[in-house]
Amino acid sequence: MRYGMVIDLSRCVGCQACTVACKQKNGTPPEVFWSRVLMSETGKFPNARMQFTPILCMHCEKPACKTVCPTGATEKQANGIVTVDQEKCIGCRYCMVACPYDAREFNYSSLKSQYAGQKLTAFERTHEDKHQVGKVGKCNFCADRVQAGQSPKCVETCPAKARFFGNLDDPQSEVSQLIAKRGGHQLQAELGTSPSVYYLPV
Amino acid sequence: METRTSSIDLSRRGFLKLTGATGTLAVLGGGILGGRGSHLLSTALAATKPQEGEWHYTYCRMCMRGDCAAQYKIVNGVVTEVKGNPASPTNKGTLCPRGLTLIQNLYNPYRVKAPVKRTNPKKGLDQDPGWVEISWDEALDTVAKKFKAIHDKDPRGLLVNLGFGGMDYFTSFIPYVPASFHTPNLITTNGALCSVHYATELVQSCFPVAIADFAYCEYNIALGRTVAGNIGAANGETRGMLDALKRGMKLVVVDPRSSPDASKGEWVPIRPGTDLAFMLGLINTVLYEVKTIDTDFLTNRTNGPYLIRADGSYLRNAAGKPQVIDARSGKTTAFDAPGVKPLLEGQANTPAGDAKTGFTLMKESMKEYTPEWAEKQSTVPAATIRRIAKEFVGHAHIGETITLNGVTMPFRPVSVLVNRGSINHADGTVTDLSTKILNELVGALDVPGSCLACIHGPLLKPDADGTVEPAREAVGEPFSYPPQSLDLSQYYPYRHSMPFQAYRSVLEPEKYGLTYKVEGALVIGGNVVTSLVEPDLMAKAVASIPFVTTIGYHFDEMAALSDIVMPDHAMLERMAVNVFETTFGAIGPDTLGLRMVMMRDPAPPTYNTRLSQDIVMQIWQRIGLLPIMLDVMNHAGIMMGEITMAHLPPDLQLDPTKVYTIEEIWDRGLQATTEPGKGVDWFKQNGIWTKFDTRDKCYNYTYFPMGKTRYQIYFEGLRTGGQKLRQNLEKNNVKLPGVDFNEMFAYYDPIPKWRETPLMKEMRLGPKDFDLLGINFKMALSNFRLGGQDQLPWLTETGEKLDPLYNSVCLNPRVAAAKGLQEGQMVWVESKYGKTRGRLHISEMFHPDSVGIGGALGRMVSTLGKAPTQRTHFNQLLGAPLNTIDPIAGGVENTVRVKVYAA
Repeated sequence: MRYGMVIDLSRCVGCQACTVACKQKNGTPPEVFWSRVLMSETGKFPNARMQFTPILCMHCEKPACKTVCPTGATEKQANGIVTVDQEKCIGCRYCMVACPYDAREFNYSSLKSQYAGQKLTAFERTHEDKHQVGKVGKCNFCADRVQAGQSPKCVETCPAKARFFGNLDDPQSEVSQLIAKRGGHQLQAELGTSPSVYYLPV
Repeated sequence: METRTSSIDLSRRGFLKLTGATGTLAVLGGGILGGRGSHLLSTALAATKPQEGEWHYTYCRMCMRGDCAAQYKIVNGVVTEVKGNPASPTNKGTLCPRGLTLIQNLYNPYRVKAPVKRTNPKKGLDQDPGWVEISWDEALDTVAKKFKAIHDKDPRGLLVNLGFGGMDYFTSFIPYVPASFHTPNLITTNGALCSVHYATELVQSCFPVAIADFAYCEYNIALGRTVAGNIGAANGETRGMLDALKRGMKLVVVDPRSSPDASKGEWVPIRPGTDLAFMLGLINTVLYEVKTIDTDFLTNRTNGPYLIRADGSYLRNAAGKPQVIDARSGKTTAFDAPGVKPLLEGQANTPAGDAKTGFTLMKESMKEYTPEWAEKQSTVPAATIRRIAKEFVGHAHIGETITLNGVTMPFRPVSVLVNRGSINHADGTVTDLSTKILNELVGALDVPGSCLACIHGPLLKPDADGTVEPAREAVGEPFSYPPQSLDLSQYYPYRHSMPFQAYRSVLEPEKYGLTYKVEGALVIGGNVVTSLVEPDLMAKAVASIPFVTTIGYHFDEMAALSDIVMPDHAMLERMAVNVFETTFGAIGPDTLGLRMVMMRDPAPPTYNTRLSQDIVMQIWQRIGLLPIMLDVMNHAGIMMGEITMAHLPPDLQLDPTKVYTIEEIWDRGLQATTEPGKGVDWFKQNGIWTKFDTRDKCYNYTYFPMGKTRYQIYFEGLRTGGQKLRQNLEKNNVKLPGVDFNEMFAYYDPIPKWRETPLMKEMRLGPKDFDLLGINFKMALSNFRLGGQDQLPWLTETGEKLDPLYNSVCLNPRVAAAKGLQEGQMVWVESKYGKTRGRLHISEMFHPDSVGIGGALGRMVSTLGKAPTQRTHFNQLLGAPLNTIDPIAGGVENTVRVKVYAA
């Protein structure tokens, strides 16, 4: 079992639903995005178009973050998900230097309200304990949802149905089939971390 | 029992006629200070208290579509998660970023938490209202007393201002409030910048819009229009568009800016405000160069063969019937003579002079609009116009048929569709009518793959002249002098929404011929100050009204100018119902034929808030008008969705002597819409009710097939309407400030023609430093201010951190370079109406004549947080003098002449 994700760039319309879904699911602090869509443009007028690249933790097979973590807080689970144990994390941020995908975020302060200058809302209070000061956080493929047989929140919410999730070790799984049939590629594959997130071409 | 719902005439006149209501007040057990409704609220709450930890059904209306069924979970009394309902055929368990943000709409520290009254008598956006919290009883009693006085003196003195924020999928009190209070002054803030209905109402007898058919379409031209991706529409339109593209559909997006939709297809940049030129160039190319048209359709299903006299009217026989040339005899005869074979093109010599067919006149008129001419006006290359015209006709499959569910009908899988980017200009309705012509040239109306009326049913019933009966706004409000309505709807009978005029009339009623003054306003979720035009003028007008009460969600600009603010529920807290039986953009394979009824099982209120509908009924009860309101509901039906009225069967009718909560009323409406027994409790358990029509029923052709009805291609309805209107205005010596009737009525032309609009005239004659055209566009993170989109941090922060177009002023690189402006610097964008400041973003995705300011951002009060006030506010640039608007639909010119310079 090796969980992976496929993102179909021919379908992504850059709406950022996935970005907001992740914020809702994880209650991440202000300015922290564990999943986001990079928006850019290509071409010159009149042949200019938008480009969208949704990114998140790649849950690499050879995660650079795990290699450098001094305390073992970063682990790769048997199902392929790379997790961070905030109790073990000492906040050295070496992992953030090592990660080629900018996937990790550091909690510089205790959780503040997204409403600048206001007290935590009732919703935000339910996530207060999950983001400890001085620790690192990142996408965990919604491990609790996956365990319950659901897909990650970003996959569930995508209005374009551009995201897929499943077992990369099973050649018949939807994700494996998409990669094989449509030529799925990894970002920055040459760096050798072997991401578990694949992209289908525009 | 049969489900009885219908599309009903919602004009105020229609409702007053239906109720038979007179002016007498029936005070039944109520009166001003009696009949407290507060106990009803707690009863309702107790009945609807949801169970912990379980999913509860709801639906989203963070944009005005409201098509996405959803669910939310409560854990330890807190809503912790929102998701799409997987069983919903529209969104299939997905939600866009706005729907996901329903939780922040709920837990928003800037909400109004209790009723308040103003203690500072000075009104202005810079004034501190001096809010003091009051009880619900005091609030309701005060409002009722003021409104009763207005009602007794002159009910026209009450202005009711609704907006998308209060129209929870339109199941608000649009019909009942004005009908029971007897004020003609119901206005909506929404619609003035999106006046996109007349042409479809006139030609296809459909409100609100025409849509694309992504189940079958092969070639779609989207002109000034979001297709789906631009807003990440979760309701099936994005999926539908992408799936259609995958199966080979071609998407051509004609727009001053490149967009997510354009990036999936072909982007055709166009100079802002010149969409009509592009359309006329396409029509010319099809008629004179491609020369392949659906002659069968045009001859037998349009009024193209009808003979037209020199004065523009139909040539009629002694019996009053429009005439055609019969190919068998060469003589003129009635259009419906037995066995007649009309000639599409030709001319008849009559004693009264020559009469040409409508098609001939239209074709001759299009001759001058060559692709070269169109390129000069629009900057779209002639070669591109030629290619698109050829491709459009090539994909139309003229002559082919398709059989669905055993019913054979024409197959015309092409469409050209428009929306507010193209229609909100002085010649906007003319542009929309020209798209009907192009679709009709290849027979692409109301058949599979084509330009569809968004609702299906026997809409195409012919009138006595054999052409489709117009609907709704295209029927027109009756004229009266002096005018009755603040928005002058008696002078703009086909108008969609003219709130800017209503508030100008508030300030200067005599100037517009109004014989009364506005004494009070009821505002529910509509913000004419921020979301319309000329904010300072609108604020001045609102502030001038002696008593304003707002039912509001947060302390916005309208609340700031109010005397009493009554707090509205947040969206998840609102019990509400909605019927999906139309989409606004495109139907797809998943949603074709779908009818879906949704309900919100409300979350318990966080604060001391109430449902706006219950508030209104509680006020009406105190005034003594509730029995009339309930009577109107019995006669007109319960509003269950934008176009759905549920007529209550005898056993569910309301007793006008009783008092109801809106939940009790909608419980009856739900049963009347679905089946007996399927009311609130059933929907709490099941969430949605769905029904699919067979595919043949989704195409209105099947109700009135070949030869049974004709579409207007020569727009006689517009011509006669304009003629009558002008006669009435001149007979009564009406003077509209700044308006030249020759200019105004030129647009009421049965054939779309190119004219220099006021905007173009300004570009030609005005100061040369105003050298750019400001445009606005929808964004997924900000497509309205609905639900507080510009206030909720998941949306605003994501936009600011990740989207270069969000809260930016966008310029083409050559333009920026010529002005010496750099990426990221602050600039002013200034029009003759106002100015706004913003951060420059340089992008190849914008036409060099344009300045792009996207989304619905910008605020003028700091009671929503500091950040919203610092964002670029496009509406500051807009104005709507009567001689600049679309004189048919009343739409505001949304492309504005500006200059851009360093701040």
